[in-house]
Amino acid sequence: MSLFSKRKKLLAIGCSYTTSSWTKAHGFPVWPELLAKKLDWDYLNLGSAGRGNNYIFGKMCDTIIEDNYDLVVIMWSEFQRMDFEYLNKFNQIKWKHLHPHRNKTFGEGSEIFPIDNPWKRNLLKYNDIVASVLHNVRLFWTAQNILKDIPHLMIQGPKALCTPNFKDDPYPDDFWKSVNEDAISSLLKSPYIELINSKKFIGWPIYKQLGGMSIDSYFDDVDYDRKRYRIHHLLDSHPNTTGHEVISELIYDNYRSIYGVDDET
Amino acid sequence: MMKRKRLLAIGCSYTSLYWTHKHGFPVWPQLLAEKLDMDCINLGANGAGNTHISGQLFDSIVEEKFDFIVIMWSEFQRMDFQELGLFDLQEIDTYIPAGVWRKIVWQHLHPHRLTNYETYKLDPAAKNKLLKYNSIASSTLAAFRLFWITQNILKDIPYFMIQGCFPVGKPTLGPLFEHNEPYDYFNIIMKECIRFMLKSPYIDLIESKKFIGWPIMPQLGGFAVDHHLDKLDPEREKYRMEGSKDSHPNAVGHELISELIYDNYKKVYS
Repeated sequence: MSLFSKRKKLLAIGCSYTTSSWTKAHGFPVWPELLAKKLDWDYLNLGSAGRGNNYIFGKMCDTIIEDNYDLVVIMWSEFQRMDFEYLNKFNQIKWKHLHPHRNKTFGEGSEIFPIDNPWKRNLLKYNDIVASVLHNVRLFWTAQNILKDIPHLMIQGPKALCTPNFKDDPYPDDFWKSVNEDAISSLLKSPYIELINSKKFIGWPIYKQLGGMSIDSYFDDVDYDRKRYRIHHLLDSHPNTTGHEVISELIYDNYRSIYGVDDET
Repeated sequence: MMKRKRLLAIGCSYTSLYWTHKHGFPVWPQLLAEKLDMDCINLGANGAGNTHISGQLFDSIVEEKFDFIVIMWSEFQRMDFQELGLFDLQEIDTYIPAGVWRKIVWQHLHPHRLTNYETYKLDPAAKNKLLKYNSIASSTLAAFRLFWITQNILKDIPYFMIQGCFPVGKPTLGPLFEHNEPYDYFNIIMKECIRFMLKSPYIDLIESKKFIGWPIMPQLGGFAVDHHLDKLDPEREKYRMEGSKDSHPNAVGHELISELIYDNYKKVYS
C-alpha cells in the first residue's frame, strides 16, 4: 500500500483466519485482499497467526490513531488466548501470545517462555469460560465505541471457545458440549449482549443457538464434512482458497447493505 | 424534587470502603462527594487491577447514569478475571433457608507478588514465567492504551482520572526472582516503566486536564497519589496507615486526596 495513494483504504485485522501467511505458504489470496479487490481499495492486513482478541483490539487502536481508514474489518479470534507486548532486539514493539488452553501455543512468536501444563491449568481457572466470555463481549462493545465514527464491520472467525487440549489429561469427548453451554450461559449474563450493533457485527451473537454465527459455524452449516472450504477436513480447519472467497463475499454483501455502494470507486 | 447528583468512584484499595469498615474513617470518594454535594457510589475494591477497574466502570455506565466519575488507577501488572462465585445464602441473612446463590465476581492475580489473596494459587516459578509475558513493557503499554480507551468511552461524561499507587511495584518473589537487590530493582523497573511510557503512542493523546498528574511519573513532570503524598510527607509519618509497611492513605491522606481532586474539579468543571 503506497503511503501517497489517495485510494480508499481497508484495515483488516484478526488471527490466522485473516493473516496473509496463507498467501505466502500456499499462494492463494485471503479475504482482506479479496475484499479490497471487490471494493477497488488499498488495504492493510494486520492479521497474525495465533493472536487473541487483546492483540486484535490493541493493534487496531494503535493503527487508527496513526492513520485514517475508510473501513475497518475485525475478525475476532478465540476468547481464551492471551497477548502481551515486548521490545524485540531491533527495538521494535512486537506481540507475543500465550494459549493457556492448549498443550502448545501456535503461531509466530508463540510461547517464547514455555509453560508447563499444570501451571496452564491453574491459569485457566482464572481465564476460564466465564471470564473470557465476559471480557471479550465487553471488548466488542469497547471496539464498537472506539470505531463509532469509522465505518466498520466485525465478525467472529474461529469458534470462540474450544475444548482445552492437554495431551497428558485428555478431556472427555462430550466436554465440547459443556464448553458451549457455559459460553452461551456466560454470554447471556453479559450486560453488553443487547448493546452490540448487530448490523455491524456480522453473525451477532456468535452462537447458532442464539441465532448468530461465526465463520466456523457458517462453514460447518454449508460444508458439513469440511471438504470444500477448509485447508484439510481433519488436520487443518483454516479456510482454503474457496473459503476465503466465501468470507470476502459475506463481508462485501454486508458492507454494501449497511454502507451502500460506493460511487467514488 | 430535584434528584441529587451522583459521583461514581472506582479504583483499588486506595479507593475502597474497606478502610471505613475496618478503621472507621471516610475515604476520598465519600469526602469528595460531600464537598461536591453529591451522592457517592464507591466501587473501589482491594487488590483490583486496571482491567477490573475499567471493566466495572464500563459495566456501570451502560447500566446507569452518573454526573461525575473519578477513576483512580492501580498497579499496571495486576491481572483481573471474572468468575461465577458461589455464595452461602445464610451469610446474607440467617432467616433465608440454607442454599447457595451465584454471582459474577472479580478475581485478582498479582504475578509480581509472592502472595496476594489469590483463590487459585500459582507458585513463584509459575509467576516468574507469567511476569515474562506480563512484563513492565507489556503492562505499561497496555495501561496507556487503556487510559486512552477510557477517555474515549467517557467523552460525554464529566470525569477525572488519576494514578493512585505507584504504577509498578517491586516484585516480591523471593529467591527465585532474578534481581535480589530490592532497592536497586525498584529503580530499574521504574526506569523501565518510564521508558515504555515514552514509547507509547498514547502519551500525547491523553487529555492532561482530566488526568490529574499526567503523565504519572515525576521524571516526566507528572505524579501519582503516592508521589503526591511522599512529596508532602517523605517520612511517611503523616498520611500513611503505617509508614512504608502499609502505605495506604490514612484518614488525613484521604482528606488530602479529596482536596486534590476537588481543586481540579473546580478548575475544570466549575
